[in-house]
Amino acid sequence: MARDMARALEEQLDAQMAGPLQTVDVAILDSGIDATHPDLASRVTKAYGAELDHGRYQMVEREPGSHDAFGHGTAVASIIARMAPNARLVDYAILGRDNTGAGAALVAALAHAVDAGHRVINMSLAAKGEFATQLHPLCETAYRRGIVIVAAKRNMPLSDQGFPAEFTSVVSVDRAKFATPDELRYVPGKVIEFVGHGDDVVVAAPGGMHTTKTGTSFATPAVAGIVAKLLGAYPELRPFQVKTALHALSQP
Amino acid sequence: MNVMANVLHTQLGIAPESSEAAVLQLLIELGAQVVGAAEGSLLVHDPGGKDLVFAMTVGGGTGLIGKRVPLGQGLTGLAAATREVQIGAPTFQIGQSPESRAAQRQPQAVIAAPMLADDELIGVLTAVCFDDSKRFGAQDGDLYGRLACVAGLVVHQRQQLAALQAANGASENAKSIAGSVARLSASNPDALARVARLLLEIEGLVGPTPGPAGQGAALSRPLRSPRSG
Repeated sequence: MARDMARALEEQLDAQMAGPLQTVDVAILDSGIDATHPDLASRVTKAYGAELDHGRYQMVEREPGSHDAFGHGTAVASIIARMAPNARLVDYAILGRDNTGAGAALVAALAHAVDAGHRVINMSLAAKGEFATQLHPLCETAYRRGIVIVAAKRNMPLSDQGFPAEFTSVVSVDRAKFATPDELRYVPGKVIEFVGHGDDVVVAAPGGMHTTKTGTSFATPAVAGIVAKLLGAYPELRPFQVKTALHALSQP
Repeated sequence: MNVMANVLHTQLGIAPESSEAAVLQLLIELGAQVVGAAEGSLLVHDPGGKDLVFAMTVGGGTGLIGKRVPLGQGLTGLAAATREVQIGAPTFQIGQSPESRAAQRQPQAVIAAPMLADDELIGVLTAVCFDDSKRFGAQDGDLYGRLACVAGLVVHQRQQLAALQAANGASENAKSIAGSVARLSASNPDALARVARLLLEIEGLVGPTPGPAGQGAALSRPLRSPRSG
């Protein structure tokens, strides 16, 4: 019965997502985005950088441009851009070359992105456990406001699976190798509920180049891209409904 | 002291002939062998210089020992910055042939896994291949993540032991001084006032004592309880 309902829903979702989609803002909290890359032409509409002000990180708006210290955010952005043509990307650069304050900057960026009301927030970075208490209320607020946070499982085999991926209010993502990037798997009863395609993915690299990447960081934007398309087809969906739809779209 | 020994001692507080150094070497060799890497290396974090320093290599690359990699550069820097395993390949232009990519003699597949102790960055383990047909998969990355965890634990245990030994040494010295004062007090009580003045003068002259030279990074780190998650 449940499987029949899921199949019917899947068919309906597929048909709707193939049609015209409303624009959806997707915030990407990462190392920045090289908005000049041909794969991302005209897709990055806003950009913010984390700057320290009296010991606290503030998100300062700047022109979208070539802002990526590592190429990680550009890679993530290119996956979302490819998967969801209706996604309007917002660059939150929180990982700088100085390798400091990543956790505090991540919290500041998430607070800003939730406050701005971007419908989807992609977090291919996990914060240390010490930041969990600051991230949790922000994720709860996002959930209540209908904002879908898609967060990566930590790749390192440590004692936690990464924050905010451990919170039930977010769509948490592990990686696997699938035949196509829009394939999904739902894992009932686990901390990390969804699995996306994240193996040997061709992505954009700064300077107009490309490369291949593997990891949960690159499975997460694949799922965020599906979420952006879902919300483009059904803008009224709440986060729990998005999870239900993702479940319906998942492989058995 | 050669370059490798100097890097290990200065940045990690590990003696080159110690069992910890042997375990680290073993982990790099094991990792490279299991994933079929041409080269493997261990880079240690230098917080002062905000960079990573090549400390050990296998499969060649001995000329890299002592070379520095800025934290904000490449896959190794990204692994350090994100505290995550990074798997990747060099950049290419769409349409560029595999032959021309391979001819550049750049690593064609790379894994970089951070070594952590209580979420503090100690260094990065890497594996590289120059064969264009070779790609590291997620399982290779998982293995390197685990090896890096063990390597981080080895270094962290060594640092905790050094800190305990330093604390124990200080405690033994204090006991010895107290014993000496007690014996003096019993045999010549009139001298106690002079001894007290002398000790105060010595304290003023010596001041706070720094840690052993070259082990500041390792020994100045406070002891912490195991990570609770």
